Amino acid sequence: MIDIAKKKLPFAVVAVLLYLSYCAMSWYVSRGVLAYYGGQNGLGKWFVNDAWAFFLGGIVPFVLYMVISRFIFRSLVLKTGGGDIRSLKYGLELTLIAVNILLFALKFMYLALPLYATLIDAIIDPVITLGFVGLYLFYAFGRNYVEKSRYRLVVGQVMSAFIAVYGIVAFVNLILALV
Amino acid sequence: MLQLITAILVAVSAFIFTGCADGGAPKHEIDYSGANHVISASVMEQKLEEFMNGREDRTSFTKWESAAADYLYETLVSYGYDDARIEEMTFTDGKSATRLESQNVIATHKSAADGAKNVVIGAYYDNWYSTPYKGAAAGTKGDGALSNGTGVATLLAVAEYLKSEDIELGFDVSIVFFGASATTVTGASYYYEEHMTAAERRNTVLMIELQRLGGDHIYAFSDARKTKREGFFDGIASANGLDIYKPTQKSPVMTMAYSLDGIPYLQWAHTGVYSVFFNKSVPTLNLVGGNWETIDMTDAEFADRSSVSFTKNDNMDVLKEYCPDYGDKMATAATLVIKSLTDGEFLETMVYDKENFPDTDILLKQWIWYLIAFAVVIIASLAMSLVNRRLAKKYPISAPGQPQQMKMAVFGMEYEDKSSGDIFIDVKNVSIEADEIFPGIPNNDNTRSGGNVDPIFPMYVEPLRQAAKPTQKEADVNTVDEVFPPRDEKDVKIGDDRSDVSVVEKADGGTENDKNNSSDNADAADVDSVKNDVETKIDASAAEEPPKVMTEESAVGANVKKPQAAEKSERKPAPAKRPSATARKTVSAGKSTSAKKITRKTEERSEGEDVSDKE
Repeated sequence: MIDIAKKKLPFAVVAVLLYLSYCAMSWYVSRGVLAYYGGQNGLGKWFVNDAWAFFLGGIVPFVLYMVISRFIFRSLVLKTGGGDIRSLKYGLELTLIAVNILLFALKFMYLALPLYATLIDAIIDPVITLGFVGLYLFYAFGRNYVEKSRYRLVVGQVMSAFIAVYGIVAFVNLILALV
Repeated sequence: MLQLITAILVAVSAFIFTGCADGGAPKHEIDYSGANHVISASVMEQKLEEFMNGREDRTSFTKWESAAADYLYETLVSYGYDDARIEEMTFTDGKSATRLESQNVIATHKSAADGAKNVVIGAYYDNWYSTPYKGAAAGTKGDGALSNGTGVATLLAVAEYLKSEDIELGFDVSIVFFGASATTVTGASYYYEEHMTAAERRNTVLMIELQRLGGDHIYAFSDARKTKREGFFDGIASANGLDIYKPTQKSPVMTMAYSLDGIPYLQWAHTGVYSVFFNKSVPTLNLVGGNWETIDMTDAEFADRSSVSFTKNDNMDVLKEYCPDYGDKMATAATLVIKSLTDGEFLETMVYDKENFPDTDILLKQWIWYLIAFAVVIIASLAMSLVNRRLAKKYPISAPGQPQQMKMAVFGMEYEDKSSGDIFIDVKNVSIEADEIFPGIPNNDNTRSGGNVDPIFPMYVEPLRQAAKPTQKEADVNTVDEVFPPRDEKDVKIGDDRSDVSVVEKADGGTENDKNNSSDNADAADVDSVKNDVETKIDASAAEEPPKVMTEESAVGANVKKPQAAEKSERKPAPAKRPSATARKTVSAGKSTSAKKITRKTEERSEGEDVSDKE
């Protein structure tokens, strides 16, 4: 097994990059929300601007990811007892940074197709994220970050978390749309 | 920790510097010299001054609003609109149940043709200067010069132009000043629902709204969806040198929210009285002033100044200061309207858009998109289940990486689970001295007398010794004494070349006489030398071997699988007795030159001899 976490970027750097990537991914939506509520409450441009929208937009998804991932990977470590989980977590965070940057780039299509921003938001986000996470796990297994006997455990824990989050979001939005 | 602090400081610094940065809005110095204004800026400014004179308070639902309506009516009449009228409206406030009254002022530039199509041009004329009734929002004390004195003055100018030029357009033009519409669309809704006949609604091909024509730019918003009229208006503006902007797509939008039917997002340009008509599938054109080119995402009117609409700063003095070319902007809007109305392709274009009004209801059915998203999640779950099933077959989950444990089979191996992977020491069938079990413990007596009991562990050793005493049946089992006779190495044998002293093997097992060959006859020195040479360093092959069970068939130095590859110890667990003479398994523990010597001696001695006779 390869413990790549020891060889690469420190945790602080990865965390900041991940936060910035979440900011980028959420930026288009957050600027609209900020503009609306800023206008409603008479807030001036000192607050209602793209900079605030950028950094505020990434807070919630970043915190959500850190909390959930901490729980998942602690659980994995306890169950597997293996130090290779750290490599897996490290690689997963790099993957998510790439995913968020890709989503950020894709959301520029909103500028050309604002009418379809809703459905793009609802569908593309989970598709791309789940797809990339699945591909990363496949890559990680191939690179021997995890023992073969633990494949099933890792897949179950990691993918389940992502699926659960997107599933809950989609379900809640579905109910709200129907009500 | 230092790296984390540094990273946070960098992020915060970037945040502060960008957040405090200037909006960077283009001031956009407009050159009106090329504009072909049909109504001059000075006329516009005059009309605004006249309207605002003495009518700063036009609070909705109040007598001041009624006074403003009277002025507009009289002005339209003076222009020649004989059918001009004031339409009274009555409402009830939902929260306070207060009866409210307002007025729309309406005039029509009729076409000579019967059943002609209709174009509505509107502007709201009220403001929120004071609090209109108990329970309403507080008044702003703003005169409403920008919002919407500029729109009213522009519409008056257009109405005057159409009448004075006596232009036959081929369609009717309804001039409407909406009351009770400064903060809501109440007046416009009343006009559409209560005033217009079904035929008028059917024949209305365009609704144009004029509002806040004093910001940095004038934006013309037709529709977020592709329409024919958008290109038509662009052409008119370009042909007449009019500096008309279109709402930029980079304006912030709220996804999943909308104020217009058919458009699944909310954008600043999408607010106004025209929305009443838009939602009824009537093509619209919203001419509104502002600046949405900047980092400021509010409904900004100016790049480097705060917005004035619905504030106490909304008065003529501030308008002249913030936007000195407000007259030109009003003239630009009026020119676009008049030039469009008088263009030969106008009616055809608007009729086309009316008949082909985009139907995008599906985009508004959010439940469809969230259902698809939910389906994506379900599919991902199913895929994961299939993958897990495949992985379960291909790579069964092994026990988690728990280290193997060393256990003592006190009652013998028949009571232990040999398949557990743990290492067992069968102490039931072993005959050992205390110092064999606990080497290096002080007070160990290295002599091999039968009474040598380790004083530290007397309670443990004595029972073991008692239990370990060979019975008659076990008489032929070799003991430690037999394996390591202190001084007589005659009976010592080495199982194979890999083994060290730890392995003792008899060719055919010991005999009853073997039992009597106790450590009394052993050569303590040789035993010690052999013992000292014992290494428990496990070679690579030995480390990979499954753990061996210390049974009565094993000799001294059972194969102990240790976590570390290299580890030395002075002693090895003692061998167990065997009930019958059988070949013992060799337990590898490393090599030693002494072992080789013993091997050679043993081989020399054993040739042609019966092991059983050695004792």
